Amino acid sequence: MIRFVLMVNKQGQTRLAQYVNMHNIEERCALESEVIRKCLSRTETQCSFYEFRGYKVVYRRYASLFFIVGVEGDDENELAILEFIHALVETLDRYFENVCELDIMFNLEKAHFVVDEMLMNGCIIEVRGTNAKRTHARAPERRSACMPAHLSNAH
Amino acid sequence: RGRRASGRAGGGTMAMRGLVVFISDIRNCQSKEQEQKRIDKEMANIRQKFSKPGDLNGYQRKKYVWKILYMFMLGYEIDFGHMESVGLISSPKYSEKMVGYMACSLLLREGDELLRLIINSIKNDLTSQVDNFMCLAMGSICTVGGKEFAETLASDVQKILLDKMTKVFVRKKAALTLLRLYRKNQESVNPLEIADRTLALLDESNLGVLTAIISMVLGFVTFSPEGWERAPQRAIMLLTRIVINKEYSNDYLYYGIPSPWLQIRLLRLITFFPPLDPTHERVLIDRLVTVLERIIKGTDVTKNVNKNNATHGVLFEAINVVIHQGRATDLLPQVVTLLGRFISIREANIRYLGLETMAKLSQHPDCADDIKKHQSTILFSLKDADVSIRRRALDLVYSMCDDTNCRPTISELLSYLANADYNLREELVLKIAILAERFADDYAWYVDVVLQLIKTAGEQVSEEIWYRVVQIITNEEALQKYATQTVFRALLEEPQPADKLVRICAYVLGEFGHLVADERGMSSREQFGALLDHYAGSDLQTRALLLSTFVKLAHVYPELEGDVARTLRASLSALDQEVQQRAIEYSVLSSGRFAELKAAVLEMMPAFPERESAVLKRIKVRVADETGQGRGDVVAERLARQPSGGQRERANSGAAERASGATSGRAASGDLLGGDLDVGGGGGGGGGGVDAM
Repeated sequence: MIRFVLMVNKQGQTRLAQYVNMHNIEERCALESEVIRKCLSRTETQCSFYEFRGYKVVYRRYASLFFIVGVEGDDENELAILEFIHALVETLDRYFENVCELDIMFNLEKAHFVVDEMLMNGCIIEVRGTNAKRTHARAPERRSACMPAHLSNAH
Repeated sequence: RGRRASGRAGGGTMAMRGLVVFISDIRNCQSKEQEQKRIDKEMANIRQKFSKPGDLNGYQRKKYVWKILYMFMLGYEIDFGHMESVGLISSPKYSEKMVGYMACSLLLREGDELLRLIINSIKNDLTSQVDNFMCLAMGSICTVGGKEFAETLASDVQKILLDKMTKVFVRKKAALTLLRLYRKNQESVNPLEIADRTLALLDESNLGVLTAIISMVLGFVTFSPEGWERAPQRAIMLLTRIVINKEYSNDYLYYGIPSPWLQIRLLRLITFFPPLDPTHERVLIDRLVTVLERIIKGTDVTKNVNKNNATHGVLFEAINVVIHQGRATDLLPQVVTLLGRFISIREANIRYLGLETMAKLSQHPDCADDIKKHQSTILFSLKDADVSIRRRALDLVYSMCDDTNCRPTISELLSYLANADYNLREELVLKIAILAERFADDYAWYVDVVLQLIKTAGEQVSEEIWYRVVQIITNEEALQKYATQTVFRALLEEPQPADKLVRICAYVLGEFGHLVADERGMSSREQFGALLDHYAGSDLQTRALLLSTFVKLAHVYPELEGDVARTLRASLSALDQEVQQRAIEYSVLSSGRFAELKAAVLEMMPAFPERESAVLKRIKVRVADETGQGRGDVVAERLARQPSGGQRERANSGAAERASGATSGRAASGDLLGGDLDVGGGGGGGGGGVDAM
């Protein structure tokens, strides 16, 4: 079961944090800083998984942002998670058109929508970028409120 | 930069400018104090606005709640705004409802009182027939839903799942939401009732829905496979459809592979059921083999990293299925060759997974020899630069150890221990101890190994391990003399012995010192002298043990009585309660008035009864802590299954602990040795100590 999804930059600033079970604020901060520290201390040639406090952590770096997924238990395929991260990034890329860290920062709510569409209850449910986007386009208000017209039509 | 970003975020005039401005402000703060000030100012502002709720319109409320969420994400404690979030949920406007749900999911935790308030709203949304509302509601159930949610809402969600008219994207969410509710409260959903209808849903062609439903089935099956017996059959048929017949819409192609996530889930599902039976399910097995072969043969290494990862992800899952099915498929030899290749590949991820999968494979008796061919590569991986890989390698070495290769394996592990990094050490020590005990053909060697462990990594050697050694020595008469000599010599050689070494020596000499008293350099005086040397420098627990030993020695060798009495007297007012109590009790015991009691109390320990090894229990706990539930059991299980070759199981650690303290005159509660032994019967087991006087 996926327990958390984090997007943390190299300076240790969290850009997005989604937890399946909420911990309190101190625990989260401590967890996030530990996790990012470990990610930073690993080199490119080392593998993308490590174990930490009972979780298995799968991470992938895109430019200055680390995408980190914490999994609990033995029932997740590590490579699948790795590719899920990539699918997530691709979706964000399509949503924001060449996404960068700033996009996620300033459009936190949209980034959360996307993650929510793709992940539910700790399971991956949707990995088709266009499907995730389409669902959001359906919300009539949001189409006018948040999304530029060309994005909602460009499936 | 700020301009570009806010331009894009704008997109239209309706985007929340207030939020964007706020975020820019925070980013422009030069210092933590400035940021804190800005945050405080904003919080005060919002608090004030919320105190007059009637004045706010939906848009403003939404904006403020988003600001709160942002501050929350930054790490600031939020203690207000919850009621407004709850209120937003009942708004008919989608964007407001959405932020209400999101705020509740992020700010509230399962079990929070406020959540009760929203159950009703959720129920309304679930039954509203408006797709988006249903999705939002289900999303929040998944994040914060608890037992109460399950009781009230499970039937509604179930209806959505099984209704023919439900749209695809809603059905997906319903499947996983139901799983969540089931996990929270197993009574709320009856698997037998829904199993057949759920499996019928698998005729669907949309791969997204299939993925969700299979995940749900997997979740249910983890609890109990009852009711889901048709699942493996369905899984195999689905796999055939996708992998062989290529029936899927191009939508779901991921770098040329049809929904790898679905394939992985399907394969995993198969491993939750007992292996297919070759006599009755031949057709099914053949279909499965076709799929597996296609996957195994079709996976190449490509330049594209993502494609590579995806195909190999599926491949590893397929390999797991092959391993799980055992001899039913004939693919085991291929798998072994593949894995052999993987563990020497340059790419770290594949190496990691190769080692991990090979550890699973090593449970198979047939493959043991093939795996041993790769022994040198595996041992080499123990020294890999990457700690994750080292861990996997250690697991594998541990699980492939057996009678034939145990000695070289253990010496290799022991030399590795000397340089191992800190977090691996404790696990390493435990594993070496277990392996040594299991495969020892000669107990003398086992004692040597444990002594070596203590010398190399004294601090990481847990209590259970040395208790175990002691138990074994006590139970094996032939071993006692050798053990005593070796342990004593080890103590004499070390200028600064680890506490555990002192303890082990103290106990062993106390019990069996008389066996070696005739040797050169090992007379009673020398034994006492050596132990006394370390008395002052030892920790409190060791000292307590030493006192017990001293009184035993004095009992056996009257010439030592004077010195021992002096030592006891010196500790009569020791600060530590245990040490003091023992000193006093032993002094009194030796005073001459209790000769009979003394003889009974200080008799040699009898053999320990059989019970599960505490060391083994310990490693299950430890590995589970480190790596999550499943793994620890796999390794320990294998050892449990291996034939112990006539070795007796030894008593658990609790017994030994109390045993070492048992010689104080305390009334041996029935708990001594777990109540299996009555004190009277002890006399028969080890009368030797007294007689040797």
